[in-house]
Amino acid sequence: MLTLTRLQSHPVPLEAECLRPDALSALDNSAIARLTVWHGRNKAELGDFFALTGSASDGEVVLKGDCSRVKLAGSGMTAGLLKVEGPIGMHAGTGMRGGTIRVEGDADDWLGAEMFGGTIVVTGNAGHHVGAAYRGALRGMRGGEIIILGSAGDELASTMRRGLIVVAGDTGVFPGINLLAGTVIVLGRSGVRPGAAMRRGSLLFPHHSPELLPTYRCAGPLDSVFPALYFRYLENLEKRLELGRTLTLKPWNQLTRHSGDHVALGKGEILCPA
Amino acid sequence: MLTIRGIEIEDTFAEAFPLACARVVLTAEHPRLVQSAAAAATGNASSVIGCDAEAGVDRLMGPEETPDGRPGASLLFFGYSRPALEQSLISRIGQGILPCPTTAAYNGLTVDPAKCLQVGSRIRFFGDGWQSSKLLENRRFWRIPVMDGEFVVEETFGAGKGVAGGNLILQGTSREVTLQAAERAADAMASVPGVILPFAHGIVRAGSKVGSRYPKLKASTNETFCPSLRGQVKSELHPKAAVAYELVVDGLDLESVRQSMRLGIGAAAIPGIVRIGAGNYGGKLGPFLIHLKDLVGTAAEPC
Repeated sequence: MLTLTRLQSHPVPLEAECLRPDALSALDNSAIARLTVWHGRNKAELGDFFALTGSASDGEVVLKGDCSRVKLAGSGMTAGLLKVEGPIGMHAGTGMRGGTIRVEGDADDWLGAEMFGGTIVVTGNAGHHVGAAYRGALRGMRGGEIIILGSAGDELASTMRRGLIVVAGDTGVFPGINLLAGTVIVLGRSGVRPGAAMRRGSLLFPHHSPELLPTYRCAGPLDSVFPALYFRYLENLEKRLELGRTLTLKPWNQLTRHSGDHVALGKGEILCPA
Repeated sequence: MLTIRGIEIEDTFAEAFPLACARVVLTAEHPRLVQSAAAAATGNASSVIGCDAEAGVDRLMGPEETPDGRPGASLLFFGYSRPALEQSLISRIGQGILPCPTTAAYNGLTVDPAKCLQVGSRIRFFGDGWQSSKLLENRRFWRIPVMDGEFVVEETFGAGKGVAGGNLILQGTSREVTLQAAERAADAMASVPGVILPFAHGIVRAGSKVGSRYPKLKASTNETFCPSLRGQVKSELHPKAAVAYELVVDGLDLESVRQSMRLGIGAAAIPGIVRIGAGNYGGKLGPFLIHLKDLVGTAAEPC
């Protein structure tokens, strides 16, 4: 396990795309310390900002200290474990394809944006655009799962194409905007205008009935085992990821299905209590 | 000659053969719906001689064992080939399980992408464009709108290489006692996980041989075990036997079939049974030869 301890926090962001366990596992510590990072507009070396101890050969990397301005950690990673003991900056896990990122703190905006696979767990809150598509991109998150034990910001799962996002707390405005497919489960309260312009996919609010856009149509109570599959899956997830808190939804409320958004394709759904 | 409790164990073997197999986990809101759907899906599936598949209920499952937390059943299906089995599953799930209220069907075997069966991906077309899917842990589930909500079926099912044709032949002094022994044996054999007895009640009175004097018939009655033909054919019945019943068992693997037959012999050995044997084709049909003397082992007494 390689431990990278931030030497000092700095308001200028540090872009560290090299912080991915699969890439670091093949390098010795001196080579890792020489990896290129961008501090603002200046090119620098990773070792200028982090103290290195241990070895990454086992595919496990731990970030310690204030990494709230460290961007792109774990982006594009394909395997291994990146553990962040504290906050992490923007774009963490963007485009990742495998492995696990575990943030024991808060995560900034664009968490898991356009990711393809793997798992991201955030024990604190996450910023805006979790699992989203970057501006101008056709598709956001295309696989994998993001579990946020706190709350998430605005435009959660914007233009998401596939995968699962679970938010134990609340979300900001426009959750599931432009959703193409995939599943988003919010155990807390939804911000306004959920599912605006969504084409397919599912937004589940098991404990909250948000005010829906007029372009949604109520289909009545949903009689399907599909939510039960997810609820059973969340129970297993608690154990597998050692979340330390329950995502269990029992007692389950009878969910009502609202189809929409009928300004778009209209094959999406919002499931919430009647 | 080996005996168990004074009953002759014939020095012969059952000749089993490989068949493609699949396991379907069926769930529904109530156990009675599970049983109805299971009966419909595994009906008319006693032998691949005349049916598209051999099928049966492996065991009933509690809510804690099933993917959606409802009562369920494990169903086993066996077919000549993976394509044939795939077609059987599509029609049997599509016609036997899908129409039954509240049901869902899940894969129960490990999926090898190179050898899997595309089942839900075909049944989904019943949704006529209104179907949707969910991908969870690399398993795709199709949601098909139906009149009581949604039917959920898994897209791909795993296919294994099962073992079919394990069998015992019980001969007894009367129909009553032989049927009683056969029922006891069938219950014991079915208690092994991963096996089914595909025939009705688990018991066969129409033991067959390969071929017939009629060219188009693949199988016909095994006259050597028919008591009414004594004197006309070379009978294989014990001199004191008035009747014979066969028990056929299919399993996910050879050891399950062997264990099932082992339990069957023990349960069938009751007074009135005069011989326990097995059917084979001289070792020419199947690669798995299950010798009865190996099954009874130390439980047998040399006579």
